[in-house]
Amino acid sequence: MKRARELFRKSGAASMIDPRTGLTAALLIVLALVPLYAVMTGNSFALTLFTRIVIMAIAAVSLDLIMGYGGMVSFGHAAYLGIGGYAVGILWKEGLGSGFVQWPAAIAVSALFALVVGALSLRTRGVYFIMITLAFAQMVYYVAQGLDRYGGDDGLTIGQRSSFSGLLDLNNNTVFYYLCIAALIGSVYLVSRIVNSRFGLVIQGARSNERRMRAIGVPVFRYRLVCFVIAGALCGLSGALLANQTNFISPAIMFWTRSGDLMVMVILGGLGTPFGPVIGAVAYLLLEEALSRVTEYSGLFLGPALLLVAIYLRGGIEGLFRKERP
Amino acid sequence: MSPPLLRVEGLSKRFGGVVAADTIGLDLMRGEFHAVIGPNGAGKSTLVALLCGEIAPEGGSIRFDGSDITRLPADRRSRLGLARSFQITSLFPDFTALDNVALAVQARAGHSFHFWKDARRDPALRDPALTALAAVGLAARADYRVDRLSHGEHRQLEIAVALASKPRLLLLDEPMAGLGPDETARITALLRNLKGTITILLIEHDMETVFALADRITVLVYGRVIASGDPAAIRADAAVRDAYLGERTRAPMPEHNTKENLLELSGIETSYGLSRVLFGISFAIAPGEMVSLMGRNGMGKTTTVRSIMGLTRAGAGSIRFAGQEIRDLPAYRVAKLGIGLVPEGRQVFANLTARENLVATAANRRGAPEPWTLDKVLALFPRLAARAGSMANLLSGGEQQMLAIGRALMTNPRLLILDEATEGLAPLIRDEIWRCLRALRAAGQSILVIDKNVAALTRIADRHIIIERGRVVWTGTSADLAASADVQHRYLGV
Repeated sequence: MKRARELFRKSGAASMIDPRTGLTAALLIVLALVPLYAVMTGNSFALTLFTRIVIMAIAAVSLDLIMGYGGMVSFGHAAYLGIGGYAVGILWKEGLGSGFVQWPAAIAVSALFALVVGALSLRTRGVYFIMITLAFAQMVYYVAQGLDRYGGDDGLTIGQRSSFSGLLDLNNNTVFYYLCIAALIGSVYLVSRIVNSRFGLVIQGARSNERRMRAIGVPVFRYRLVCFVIAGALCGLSGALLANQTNFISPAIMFWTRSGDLMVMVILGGLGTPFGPVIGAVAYLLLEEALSRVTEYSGLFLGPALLLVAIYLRGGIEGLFRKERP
Repeated sequence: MSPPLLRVEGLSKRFGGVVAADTIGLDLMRGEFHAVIGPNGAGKSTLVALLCGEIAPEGGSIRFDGSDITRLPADRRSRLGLARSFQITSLFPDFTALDNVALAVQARAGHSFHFWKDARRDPALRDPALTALAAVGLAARADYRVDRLSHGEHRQLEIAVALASKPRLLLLDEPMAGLGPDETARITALLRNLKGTITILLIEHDMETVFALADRITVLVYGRVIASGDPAAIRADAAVRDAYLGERTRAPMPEHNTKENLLELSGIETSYGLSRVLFGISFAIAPGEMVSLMGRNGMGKTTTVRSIMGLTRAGAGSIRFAGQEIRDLPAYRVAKLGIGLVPEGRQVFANLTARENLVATAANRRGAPEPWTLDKVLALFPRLAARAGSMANLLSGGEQQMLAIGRALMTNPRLLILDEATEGLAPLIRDEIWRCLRALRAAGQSILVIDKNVAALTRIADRHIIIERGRVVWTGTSADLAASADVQHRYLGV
């Protein structure tokens, strides 16, 4: 009983609901109600748009793990979207339509790629790290362009969504949407557990002061590498979801501007926060969608908006709702 | 007698032209409290960096508890039980104080590939961390973010982090740096408690602390061990006394003020973040005068210069140069008004040739009736003329120093400021620098010079200003300084 009361007090519920928790809850409720809204208004595009937003949010969450918490500014994160997507597409093309094969494969290949990229890039710092991650992503982009059997530059149309042998019917857009929501919540929870674990503290400590980290006896490289692999695997899952949603995968998803979009989502939402990237993905993609309806030159408005965030909103949108620590 | 815990033999390291460690030998017995002292640039921090594995030596060996650790990386050494504190506070600024210490406990408790359990609620990490915080008197600050703590608390936390890893050897690199008297006393008490429980190597400028605590003292000068022994032997050593400035001093002398002053400081107060360094510095320099700024390390000499130059903004007081208030001007404007700085550590443009260094500087200079030219500078430093086409980073330490002076002259300065211009140089080169300064002074150049070499300064400077803990404590002529036994006397200097 006493313990329960203490937990209650710690959660802050006794005084007032944390504005951050409030924002998170509100956003989750809105996301959960999207299919209902789509059915009631007959606006099926809303569901398509939000499915895409939720999938990109998973990718942003995975990028935040390395960029926000780990200080590893990867400029090639979209590569994992493509690798995850191509894993689904290629397996389908070769006659393996089962999600039980496709999804683990997407995750495993992405993790393997992250292991290679990380093993080389994490030996460098700053601009060099950014350039190496970018170079690897562009390399995969051009390799995909050369895959004539799988559509080359034009991309590959995937005949059907992953099958889960009657367990789940992904062809039902609402089911698919809720599966994506579940994956997103799972990802956010996973990342929030990781960053508060011993492993997570090492990762954050290394970002904060690498020299001191070594001085207290921690070999930083191997922890960063594992973190890099986890983020790559998670983003690979998001790639598999994306290919399922659109029934299509092409090299364009891996172009470097896509990696840039992911970085913008994370920064816009709030670097190094569990839910910030979700907020960022929703805000960025909705803004992009809205602007593209009114003007051809959406970038003309998006650019200044990002500038304002960079100058005045260092903690991102999420930072607006954060309580100050002592 | 048991073998030493740490045995250092023939340890050597060069940085460019400067020898930072010259065949250093050192033995640390188990449980010993050993202090390393020496002037700025003697290689003390280099020694710490070599011992903890941050940089690799060019020669020599380090044995810790019988095994050779010369080639081990820093994190391996730390896990063997070799912990350090940093001279410039090096913590995790966005973590709480408790998190900082808990992370050190965690690093000591095996690998950190635990991905699920909340480490911040793990008593196996939190309890020892709280104990270490309490040991340094920071228990009440456990949940404060480090960037909200004061400078003194940072220094305490530095020690707590080092202690939390349960080291067998603790390397403390100037734990008192930038602390006021009360905080210094607190850290001293803490070190006294630790004495005997673990082996400690302390690098420190605060002589009272060193002599009060150390079992043995090693003196480094220009990367070399010039003496090693118990405090009484060190105090009596003539070579050691020469390595430092004379003496702590008393009441400020009246300001000498015959002519219109070129530079006038009054009540300058400067801080680095939370750490206050200058507490109302006032002095003046007349045209054509050569004035020296003396004092122990960390007393505020370089900060005074940085405040004059506008490199670090003074929070209060006034700085007038040639009748104009310059306190809030940016550095490039101050330079253009005619103050040429030869910074500590030279800071030449490494990727330009010597000639390009000189020419590039002339771009932002003040007009003068008889401007400095490339030929004039090279005539002043014949040694530099021979190497004018070499990249600056390939020059020796002495040549780089001459280049730094030449570069400052190219701005046609009305006041030339030299910060430790002879530091880390061989005696012959130092003599050449002094010769040049004498020539410049004879030509009517106003000069403010910071240097450790009291004998040379008393020969060529007109007046001396001594700074102690951010305040001017003495000013006087060379004759005054030479005559004042009180100023020249007592322990190793200063």
